[in-house]
Amino acid sequence: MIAYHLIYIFFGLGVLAGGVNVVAQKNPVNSAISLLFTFMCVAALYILHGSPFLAMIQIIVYAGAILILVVFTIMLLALREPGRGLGKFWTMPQKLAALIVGAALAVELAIVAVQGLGDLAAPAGASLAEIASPATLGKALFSKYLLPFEVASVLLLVAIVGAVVLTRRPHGTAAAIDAPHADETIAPPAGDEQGGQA
Amino acid sequence: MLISLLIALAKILVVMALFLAATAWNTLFERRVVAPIQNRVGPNRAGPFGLLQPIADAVKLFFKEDIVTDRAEKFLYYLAPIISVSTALLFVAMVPFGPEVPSYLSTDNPAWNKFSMADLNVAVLFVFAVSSIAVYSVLLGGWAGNSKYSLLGGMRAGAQMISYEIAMGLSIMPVIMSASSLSLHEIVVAQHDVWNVFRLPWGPVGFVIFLMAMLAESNRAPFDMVEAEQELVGGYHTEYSSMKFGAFFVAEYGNLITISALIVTFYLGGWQGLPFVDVGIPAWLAPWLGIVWFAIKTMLLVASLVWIRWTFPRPRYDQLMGYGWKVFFPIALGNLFVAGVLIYLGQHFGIGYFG
Repeated sequence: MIAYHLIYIFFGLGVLAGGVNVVAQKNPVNSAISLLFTFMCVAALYILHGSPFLAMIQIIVYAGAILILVVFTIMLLALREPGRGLGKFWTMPQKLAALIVGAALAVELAIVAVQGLGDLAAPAGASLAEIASPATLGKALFSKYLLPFEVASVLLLVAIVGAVVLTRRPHGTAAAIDAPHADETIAPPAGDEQGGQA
Repeated sequence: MLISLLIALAKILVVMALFLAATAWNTLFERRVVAPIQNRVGPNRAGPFGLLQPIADAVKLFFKEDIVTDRAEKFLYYLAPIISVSTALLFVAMVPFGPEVPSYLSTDNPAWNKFSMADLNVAVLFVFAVSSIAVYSVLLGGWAGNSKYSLLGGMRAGAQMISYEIAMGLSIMPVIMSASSLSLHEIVVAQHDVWNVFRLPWGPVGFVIFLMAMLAESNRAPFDMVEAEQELVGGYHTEYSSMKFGAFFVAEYGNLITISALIVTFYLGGWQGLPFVDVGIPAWLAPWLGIVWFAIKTMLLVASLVWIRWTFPRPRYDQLMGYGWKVFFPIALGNLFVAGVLIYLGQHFGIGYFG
């Protein structure tokens, strides 16, 4: 049991250290990799809580789809000068706004954590492995929570259509001929998110 | 508790040692196979049939000068080959090499008797997760070296891997539905009567798409856009030398074995033998024979992948993305729908042969 707690604390500290490092790094790519580290540590925490399914989804969706898109964007924008950080572009009002939003989020999290402490006990008559198994989650998702699930997929579909519309240029312009695979480069993350969710 | 840990460690050690050795000699295998295809002799000087060549290669790589490019992002530059090798090794963790053996030790923990490092109930998702982490090695490797060519190679490889992940996921879905499980062990067990590749009509279609998607995922020719020597010098590992390049190399050849093993697991019946050969084999031998079947199938698949590499020309990059999004993706989606309907009919009404 001691070993469990030590491992738990290790990954918990990893989440915190990664999160702090995301903000502290000058280079945006380093920040993104810190964020990757944080996601992995969160996945490890899910596993320690007995839910490998959530852990895997966490890695596939956040690390495999969303963060990859972020890294792509950073690399495409900073193409000319690798190593130039975004840190110096932050003005004082921006820093202040970030501080306020961050503090609000922290308070919110604290409230949720305190309120949630009462609900920690698992329902009687079922083992943790059963509750967290993909089969149980799947059944719940397609019966009790079918409507939110479908609404979320429609939302993602709207996002995909939006991305396609935004990247589409009018036919016949020079740009459309010039960049035949612009659509395809933008499209993957949107589709991948959908694949990860489904 | 302790003995579980020891057994897990022993499994890891054995599998890793075998896997790394297989990876090393896989390089020799490919070079020996490609030589006659290109009308050459191939490496035959180091040892009999050139069998010591991989050792010579490794020693050579270790003693090469370790160059780090000027203005490289040091940390990420070192991280990329590490991610590359570790994801290649992580893939193996889920592969079931054989059926459960009858218990020699104890029946306390069923996991001890399984021929795999781990049998998760989310093993398929684990494979997806690892393959999505593998993209980072290519992206970071291309970016950190501060070179145009490797950046271009990394970016296009990253886009390619993300695109083909979708076709890969959709082409595995029918297999999962047919086995009603995400565990690779149970997927293989479910193929006892019919291998998935023979389950008409979705089996062959899914198999071909999965094969193509895995080739593209591992950046293997004919989809080796990453390297494309004629256009990009050497792709994302242009700026790497010495054992850091060796790490990428190990990962590439390790991935070749792993994707073969995964294709065998998902579509070619895993450790299941041919039905008519199984008759009359004593029960104590059967599980060990499963390993032999698995090894034979995997080796045959590796051989055909090598053959494919040196036979087919490389498509253009836009053609490659076109295949992924306009051909494989819709076909895989349609295949998923057909398979879903058929499997539902089979499981609930006993129609067809999927029951």
